[in-house]
Parts: sequence; C-alpha cells; structure tokens
Amino acid sequence: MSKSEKKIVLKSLDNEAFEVEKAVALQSQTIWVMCEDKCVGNEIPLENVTGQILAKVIDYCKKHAVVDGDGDESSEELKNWDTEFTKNMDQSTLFNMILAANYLNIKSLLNLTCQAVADKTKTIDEFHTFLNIENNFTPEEEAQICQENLWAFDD
Amino acid sequence: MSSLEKKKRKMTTTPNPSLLPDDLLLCIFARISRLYYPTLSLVSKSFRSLLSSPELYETRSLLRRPEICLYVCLQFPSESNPRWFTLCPKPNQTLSNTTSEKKSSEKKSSGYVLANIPLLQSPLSFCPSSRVSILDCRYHTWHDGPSLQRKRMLPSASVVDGKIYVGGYKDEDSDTSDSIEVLDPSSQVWDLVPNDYSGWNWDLVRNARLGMDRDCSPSSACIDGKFHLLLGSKGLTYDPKKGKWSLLQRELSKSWFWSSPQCTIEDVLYCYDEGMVKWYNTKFRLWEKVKGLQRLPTFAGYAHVELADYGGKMAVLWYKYVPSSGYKKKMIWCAVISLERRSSQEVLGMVEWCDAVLLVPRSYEFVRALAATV
Repeated sequence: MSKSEKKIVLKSLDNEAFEVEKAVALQSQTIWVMCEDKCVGNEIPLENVTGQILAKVIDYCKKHAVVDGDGDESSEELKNWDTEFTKNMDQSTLFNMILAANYLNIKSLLNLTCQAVADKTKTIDEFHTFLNIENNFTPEEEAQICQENLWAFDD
Repeated sequence: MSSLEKKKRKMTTTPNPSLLPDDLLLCIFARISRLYYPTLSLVSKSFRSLLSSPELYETRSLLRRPEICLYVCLQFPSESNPRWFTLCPKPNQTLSNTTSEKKSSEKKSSGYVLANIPLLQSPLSFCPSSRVSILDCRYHTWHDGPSLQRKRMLPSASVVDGKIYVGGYKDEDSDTSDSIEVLDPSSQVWDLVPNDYSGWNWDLVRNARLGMDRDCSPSSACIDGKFHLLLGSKGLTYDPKKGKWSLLQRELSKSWFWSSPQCTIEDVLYCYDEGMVKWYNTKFRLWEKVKGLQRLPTFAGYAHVELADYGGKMAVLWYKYVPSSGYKKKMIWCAVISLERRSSQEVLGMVEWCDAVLLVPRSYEFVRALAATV
C-alpha cells in the first residue's frame, strides 16, 4: 500500500485542510461510510464542522486510534487523557464538539462530551446560556410548576 | 399526541446551530441524576416535555444508569392520604428557583433532604380490598395493578425470586385455604397459593381481633428464598421451590422481632431492637449484632425507627423532637450504612452519613420507608 492511500484529507467548513492517517479518520462512522461508498476522492469535505473543532476531534481520534506499534496505551491512561481533554473546554466548544461527534458519528466522543456537559452544567442559568434557550414559561406557568415541585421545607 | 409529533418534527429538521436536537439533549439528561429533573424542567417547555418522556428513561436504561431512590411515606392526622417524600442530595442554591431563599436559610448541614413528591392519591386502605396500586417512580404517578383474587385487609408483601407474595387477613366470607397469593410480574396475574398445612387453625387467624396497630397487622419477610408471614401471633413459612408450608422457625416467630423495624438486604434479615441493629444468622438460627456502628446515635425510646434496603446499603430513619420548637416539631433523621458480610458470623456496618433530613409537625407519623431503582 502506498503512503498516499493510507492518508486522507479532511476539509472543514471554513476550508481548513487536515491530512490524517486513514485509521484515525475511520473512527468516524460518517467518514467510514463515505470512503466505503467511494463517492469521494482522498479529500473529504465536512460541511458541518469548523477547523477549530475539527482539529480537536482529530486530536481525540489520534489518541484513540489503534495504530500498529502504538497500542499499549492503558485504558486508565486513556481515561485520564479524556478527562483532561474536556476539562478545560469552554461551554461553547463542548457544545460544538457534541454536534461534531454526532455528525461524524463517533460514539465514544459523543458519550464523553455529553458526560462532560452533564457534569458541568447543572444550573438553570447555565442551561439557558449554554443552549441559548429562552425561558418560555409565563410567570403563572412557572409558579404552577414550582408548586408541583415544591421541596419539603416550606412548612 | 401533539407534543410528541412536535418533538419528532424538531428532530428531523436541521437544528439551529445554537440548539441541540432533542436526541442529543436526551443523551445529556440521561447522564444527569434524575433528582435534578424537577429543577431542570423549569428551563423551558421543551425541556419539561423531554424530561418526562419515556425516551429519556429508555436512554437511561441503555446507559445502565439506574438510580436508587428512597421513599418515605408519612401520615398527617388531618389528611386522609399519606404523603410521600423522596431522599435526595440537597440541591445547591444555584440549582433552585424561587424557593431557594427559604432553603438556604433553613439548615446549615450539607448532605441530604427529603423532598415532597406531589402524589394525588396515595391508596392506603384499612378496608378489605383486592385493589393493587403501583407507584411509577419515574413520573410519580399511581396506576392500578392486577387485582388480587381475594379481598384482603392490611396485606403485607415481600419479593421472593422476583415474584411478589402477598399475605393478609381476608374477607370474613371467603374460605381459609388460600392464605397467600403470588404475582409473577411477567404474567400480571395473581395466583392463589394453596395452603395444606394442617397444623394450624386458620379460623383462629381469621377471627383474630384486628386493630390498626402495628402488632396486629400482618407482617412478612423474605430470606433464603422463602416467604415468612406472621398473622396475629402465628407465623408460617412458605417455600416456593418445594411448594411446602411449615411453622416459622422459633427464633423468627418471636413477637419482639415482628414488632421491631426490619428489612431484608441481599437475603439477610435485619432488625432494630434494644438500640442495636441485628442480623439473623440463618445457619446458626441466631440474632447477631451488626458490628462497627458506634457512629450511629442512640435513638430515643419514642423514636419510631424504620429500616430500608437502600440498594444493598441500609437506610435508617428515625425522629427527634425539636426542643426549640417547644416540642411541637420533630426532625426526621436518616443514616445510610454500608454493610459487609465478613464471615458466617460477622456483618460489619459502616455509617456513611447521618443527617437531619426533614422537619415535620409533631403529629406526623411514619408509615413506611422503602427504596426503588429507577
């Protein structure tokens, strides 16, 4: 197999090109299907992912790729690496990582990023800003739900 | 349902880049403790509908994230229905909404609280009835389950090998050979368990004077794959594998045991008696003290103690009067104990935490404490 066949070019939404080992890229089911279909050449356009996010996804895939002679990473180490990986991501990066992991269909990355959001986002305000969600309850509706969820201490 | 259709439509359209599609939100919610759900449901309407959707619980079960929930049932004398509470980690203040000020000023202790669950009807009947109600712990709603074959008063239920056994005083008119019934959850039909044990006069049991107090209520327990039932002052054991009845073991038929708080955890029977948590050693037919519980406070003599299986650990609940309230209020306390079977003769307990969890007016009474995995 020639060297060029083992490599693949991923192109982001903002036209940034990343050359990566095929084994790295194929962790994405979406890319895997594209390659299987042979409907693309060596360059795969990814229209939903920006270069900034794609670079991080590739970092993750490189770490998790099973490449010859590079397979003695212990699962414990990998876990620690995963924790560090998401630890310092801000909410908007995490948010876009979830969308990218979903679009690229990388299950383990989707699990990792969803877990990170679940761990970090616990307050109502955080959800409002993080997901850009408006509180669409009327004050009356809100009061009604508060009443239903009433904690026990209001004796 | 229109809301479901709406949800489906939203999932299939291209998501607004600033919004996660519902299936991804479900992936996140499923990883959050469900104790936060009441608060999260205040984020928006779509959150609220997602948080009460069956899809969420499907995702949770796919992730194998079951949570153990402790339920406590309390009776308030002026109300006909008992109230249900659930034990949950005390939410931090940012997580709460309009009631946060009240909560933060209420208590200094970290840890846990009992939260009121709004349940419309909580069936607890002293009249003979064949009605079976099932509490759906996901949505905190009651459903009617399959009816018992016979009307029974104050029935007591235990689970043996995944089947639910119920024993209890029957209607006066029905005959006495069918003392207990069994439900296989997969078939959803109650079967009568024939009683051919001749050494016992069932009429005596039937005619036993019934009071509403605990001593007279039927009690049941399960250990060693057998169903043990106490009716009145008599106890019987049913072995489902052999289909045989026998008299209750002498040590198990003692009345002090049946009037004590008790629970079964991983096939070991525990009870609280004379200031001690004890376990029943089936091999030697002896009650033994659970060791290592020095951190567990001594309860006042009046304190009604409840024990419950809390996912392999033991939850202990009791109350103390609050002197500063002029003894008009009582504080419900809870301790969680992890248990380790050291040898055939030793069970070691460790108090994981112990905290005041709920302040109630003094006239509240404990009805029950039990746990469910959701």
